[in-house]
Amino acid sequence: MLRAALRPLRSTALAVIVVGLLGGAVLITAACGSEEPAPTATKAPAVAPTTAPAATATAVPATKAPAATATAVPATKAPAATATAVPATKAPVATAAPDPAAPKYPPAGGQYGGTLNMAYFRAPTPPDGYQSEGGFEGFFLWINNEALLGRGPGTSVSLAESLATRWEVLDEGLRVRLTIRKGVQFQGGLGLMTPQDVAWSFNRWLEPGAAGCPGCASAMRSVKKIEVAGNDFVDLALDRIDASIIVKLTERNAVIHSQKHWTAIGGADAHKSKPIGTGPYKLTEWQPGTVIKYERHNEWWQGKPLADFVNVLTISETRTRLAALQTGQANVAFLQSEMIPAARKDSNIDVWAGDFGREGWNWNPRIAPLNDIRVRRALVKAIDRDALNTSVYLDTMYMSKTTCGLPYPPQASDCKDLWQTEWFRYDVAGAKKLIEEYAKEKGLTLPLTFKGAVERRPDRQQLNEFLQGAWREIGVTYTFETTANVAASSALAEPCTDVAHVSTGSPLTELRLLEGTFSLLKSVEMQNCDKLGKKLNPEDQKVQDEIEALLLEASLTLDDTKRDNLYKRVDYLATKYVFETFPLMNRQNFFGCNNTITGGCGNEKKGIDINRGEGFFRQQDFWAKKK
Amino acid sequence: MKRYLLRRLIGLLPTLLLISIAVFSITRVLPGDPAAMLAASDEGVIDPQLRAFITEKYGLDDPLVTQYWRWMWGVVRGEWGDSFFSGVGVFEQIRTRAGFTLQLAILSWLTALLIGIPLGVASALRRNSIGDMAATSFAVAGIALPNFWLGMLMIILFAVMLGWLPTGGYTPISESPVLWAKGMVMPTIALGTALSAGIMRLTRSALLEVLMQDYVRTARAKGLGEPRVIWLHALRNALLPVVTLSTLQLGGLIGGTVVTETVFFLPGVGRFVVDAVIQKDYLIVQMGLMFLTLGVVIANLVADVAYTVLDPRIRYE
Repeated sequence: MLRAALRPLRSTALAVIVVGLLGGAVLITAACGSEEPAPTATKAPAVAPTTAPAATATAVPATKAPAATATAVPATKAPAATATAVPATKAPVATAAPDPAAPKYPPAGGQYGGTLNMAYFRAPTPPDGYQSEGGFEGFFLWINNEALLGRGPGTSVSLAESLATRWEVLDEGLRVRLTIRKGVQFQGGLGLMTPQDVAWSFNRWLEPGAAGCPGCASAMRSVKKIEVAGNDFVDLALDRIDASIIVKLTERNAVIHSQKHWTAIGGADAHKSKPIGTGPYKLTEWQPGTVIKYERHNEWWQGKPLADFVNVLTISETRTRLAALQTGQANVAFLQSEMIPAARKDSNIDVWAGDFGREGWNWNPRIAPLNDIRVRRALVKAIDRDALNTSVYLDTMYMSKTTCGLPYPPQASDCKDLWQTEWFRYDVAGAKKLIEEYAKEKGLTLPLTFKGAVERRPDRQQLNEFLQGAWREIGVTYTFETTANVAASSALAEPCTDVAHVSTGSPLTELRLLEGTFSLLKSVEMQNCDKLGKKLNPEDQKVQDEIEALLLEASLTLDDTKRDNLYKRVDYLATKYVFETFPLMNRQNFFGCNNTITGGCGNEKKGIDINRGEGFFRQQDFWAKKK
Repeated sequence: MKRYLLRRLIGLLPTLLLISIAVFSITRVLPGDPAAMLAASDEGVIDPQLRAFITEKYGLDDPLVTQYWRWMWGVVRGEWGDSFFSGVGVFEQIRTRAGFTLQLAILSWLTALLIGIPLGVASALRRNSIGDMAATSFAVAGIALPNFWLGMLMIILFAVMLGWLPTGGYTPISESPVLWAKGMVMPTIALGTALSAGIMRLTRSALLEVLMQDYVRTARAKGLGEPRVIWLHALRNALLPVVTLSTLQLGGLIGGTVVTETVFFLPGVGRFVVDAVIQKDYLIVQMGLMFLTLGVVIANLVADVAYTVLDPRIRYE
C-alpha cells in the first residue's frame, strides 16, 4: 500500500527530473542559439552586369500618363536606373517609364503544370511580406507579395516598375506621385487592387506597433500622409525631401495587401499566416518551421504563372538539403559555402550566386578600448582577410581590396587608399605597434580586452574564433557570447555596458540605404550610452557629425549623382574610421538548381536577370520539367 | 486496478502543476526578449516603438506570477493563445505536430522491440557463439552511433545513391500510404536502432539469468518442449526489466526525436519547440514542453500497468 501510495510521488520526481533534463537541453539550445546558415559568398567579379534585360517589366501596357503636367522620360532599354534624377524644382518630372522592349512573361520554353519545391535553410518568419523579418526571407517573400516598385534588371541597385508604373517627384520634392497599375487582381478572387488598397497598405505603419512591421515607422518617418489622388494615383506627402523614399518603395513597407481581406480576418496577427497579395502564387498553408505551400494565382497581372504549386520546405540540415537537391526532392535550394564544392561537382546541379551583402560587425566606439581609432585600425589590420576567406568560407566570400562595400559601379565607393595602404593593410607588426602605443598612452597593460556577441551560426561563430585568434596575436583578448540570433546579440549590446562588438551583416549594400545601415547612430544603444555618460571621443564625434550631416544632405538631394557622391563619402568615412558598422567583406548568396527536373536553371546560371534585387530570384521563372 | 488507475491519474495533477512551474520558469530565465526578437530589423536593429507595443500587447512586463496565472488560466479554459511569432493558435500547432511525433515515437519503439527482443533471445540461447558476438557488436555499434549520423548515412545510401527512398519530409498516410511508409522508413530505423541495442542487451542478460532459475529447470523436468520453456516461462519473466526500460524509452522518444526530425525535416514537436526556443516564442515552448513531459509521465504509468499483464503476482490495490 505504501509502495502504491508512493508511486505518484515517484512519477512526480521522475517527471521533474525529465523536465530538468529537458530544461537543461533548452537552456543549452538557447545559449547556443539558432541553426542558421553560413551566409555564402564568392569571389565574384568586381563588376556586375549593367545591361541585363528586364524580365519583370510589363505584360500589361502602361497606363496613361497622369493628367498633371508630367514631363515623361522616354522609354529606354534600361528604364529603372534613374529614380529621382531631378533637381528640386517646381516642375514635376516623371522619372520612370515602361520598357517596351522588356520580355514578356512567361520565359521562353516555360512549361505549365507541376510543383516546384524550394529548400530553405531555417524556420521562415511570417510569409506576410509586410510583417516578415530577415534578409534571407527574400528567398520566398516575393512568391505571394509584391511591392509598388521592383528592382533590377541587372543589379539590385536599379529600380523597376511593378504595382506602380510610374513615379514622379512633385512640389519641390515634397510629394511623390505614384501611378498605380490597372488590372492587378488580388489572389483568392478578392478583386482588383485599387488606389485605396495602396494608400491603406502604406498607412499601416501609422497603426499601433506599425501593424507588426519592424522598421516601417522609421523607414517612413519622412512621410506626412498618404492619400488617393484620383482613380490612378496615390500621393505620398512628405514633410521634408527624402531622396531615399523611392527606393523604400521596393521594400516590405511598400507591399500591397487587400484591405478587405485584412479587415475580414481580424488584422495583423491573423494576416501573418493568411496573407493575400498580388504576387504570382497564393499562400494556401503555412506550417511554421516545416513548409509554406502556395498555389498558382491564375489572374496574376504578368500572366499565368508556370507551376501549379510552389512549396518552400525548411531543411535546416545542410547535407540533407543538398541531398534533397541531388535527388530531385527539391528543385532549387539555398546553398551554404560548405555545400558548394559538392554541388558544383554534380552535373545535374546548376549553381549560381545572387546578390551581394555586407558581412562584418557593429562596433560601439563609446566603449573602451574601441573608443580609440588606433585600436580599431589595429584590429582591422590584424585580420588576414584572404586567410579568413579560405579557412572559414572556402573562398566563397568577396574580399574587396578596392571598394568599401558595394562592388557595383557606379555606386561603389573607392576605398583603395584604405585597403591597399598602411591604414588597413594586413600587418600584424604594425597592428601590434598601434595597440602598444595606445596602451602606453593610457597606462594600460596588455592584453587589452573587449567583449562581443555573435549569433549561433556556424560561419559567424567561426569568423569570431578567427578574429579571436588574430587579435590575440596583437595583444587583445576578445571574448564573445553566443546568442540565438542577431537580435539577441543586439539586445546584449543595447545597455551600452560591456558588449561592444556584434557580428552582423546587411542584405543589400545600396548607397541609398546607408541611412538604414547607420541607424545605430540614433539607436537605443546610443541613447543608453549617452545616459551613462559614455561619449564619443572628440575625434570620433567630429566624424559622426560629418556622417550625420552628409546623410541629411544626401536625403535632401534629388540629383542621383550628387546624392550618390555624398553617400560614397559616408561609406568612405565610416569605413575609414571603423565607425560602428564595418564591411569586413562582401558575401553572395548561392543557390543550386536541379536541371534534370527544373526548367529555368540555365537562365540563372548564365546570370541572366538573376538580380531581382529583392535579393534573390523569382520562383515564377522556374518550371517543373515534364517527364 | 481501476482505483489504482484513478489514483494515479489524480496524482498526475500535482505532477503537471510542478511541471508547469518548471517549464514557465525555464522559459523566463532564458536569455533574450521575445519583443526584441519580433521588433528587430535585418541587421538586428531593434525598433523601440514596436518592441514597446509588443511588450504591452503580450503583457511581457507584467509580474511573473501574473503571467503564469494568465497562462494557466488560459490552459484550463482551453485557450492556449497564439504564437507570438506566427499568430497561429498554439493548440492547433501542437496538435498537428504531436500526431506526427507520436507516430514516429511509436514506430521507432516497435522497431526497437522487433529488433532488440529477438536478437537478445537468440544471443542468450547461443551464448558465446559467433551469432552472440555479432549481436553484441551490433548493440555496441547501435549505442555508440549517433542517430543523426546513421540517418545521414542512410540518406546518402538509400536516397542519393540508390534512389529508393526520399531524403526526408512527411506525407500524411491519408494522402498516400506508400509515400507515408517510404518517408517513415529511415527515421524509424535511425531512431529504433539505437534503442534496440539497449533492449537487446537487457533481454539477453535477463533471459540468461532467468534460464538459470529453478522454475525453468522444473519446467524442463516436466518434459515441456524447449520453445515452450523459453517463450512461455523464461521470456515472460525476463521481459519485466525490458518493459521498464522500453516504456521509459518510449517516453524519452517522444521528447527525443528532435535531431532525427531535423535531419529528415519532419514536422515533429521536438523540432518545433527548438525553433520556438530560438524565437523566444514562450507559449509554444511552454505547451510543447508540457506535451513532451506529459509523454514521459504517461509512459511511466503504462509501464506500471504492463507489469500486471506480464506478472500475475503484481497487483495494485
